[in-house]
Amino acid sequence: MSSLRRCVCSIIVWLVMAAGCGGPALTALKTIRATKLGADAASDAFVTIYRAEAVKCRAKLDGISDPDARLAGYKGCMVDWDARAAKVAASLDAIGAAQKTAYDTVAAFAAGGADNTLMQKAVAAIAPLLADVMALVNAIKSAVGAGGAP
Amino acid sequence: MNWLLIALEIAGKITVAIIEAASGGATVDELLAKPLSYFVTGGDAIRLAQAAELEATKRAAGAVP
Repeated sequence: MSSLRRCVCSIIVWLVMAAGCGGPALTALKTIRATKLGADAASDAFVTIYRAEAVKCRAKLDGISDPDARLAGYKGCMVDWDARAAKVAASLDAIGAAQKTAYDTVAAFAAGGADNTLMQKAVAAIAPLLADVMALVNAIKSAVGAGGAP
Repeated sequence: MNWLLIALEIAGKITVAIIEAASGGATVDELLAKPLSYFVTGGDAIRLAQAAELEATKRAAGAVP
């Protein structure tokens, strides 16, 4: 009976330990994955808008036959959108870097080389960045919906 | 001690099943086994779109054969 009790206790301890180690890491990885999907959606939304604006700009250059003048006209027409593209791309790069840090920390945690607090901190750093880039893309979408480039 | 190993093996399988059920099928090992690029998102898609549109403009202008 004593052996059976020890066995049951071992199983309970093992279960608690496994859940304690696997649970937070899994939650962290799911957060990273959700952030990636959000960042991908923001990137896709921006690319769609950017392409539509590029088509509009090219259409405005139809009467110009000189290639250099057309290119200069296009670049001038897209200058605001290129600036926005640089901003959104930089935000996405920051998210990517935070995701990599979080992923590496989770991997280190799973291997026993990092503590839970450090892992949670790395994962928590992603969310505000995603909120920033989503706000930026939403502002651009609103501006487009309200009648064109601001 | 064999019975203890068997018991631990069973406990392990139960734990894995519980975690898998809670995570909608994904496990820590599965997620960690994914390539890093799966998790990392960059601004490259936007830069590629910019380059492609500029290229399309050059072609339309006849600047590129």
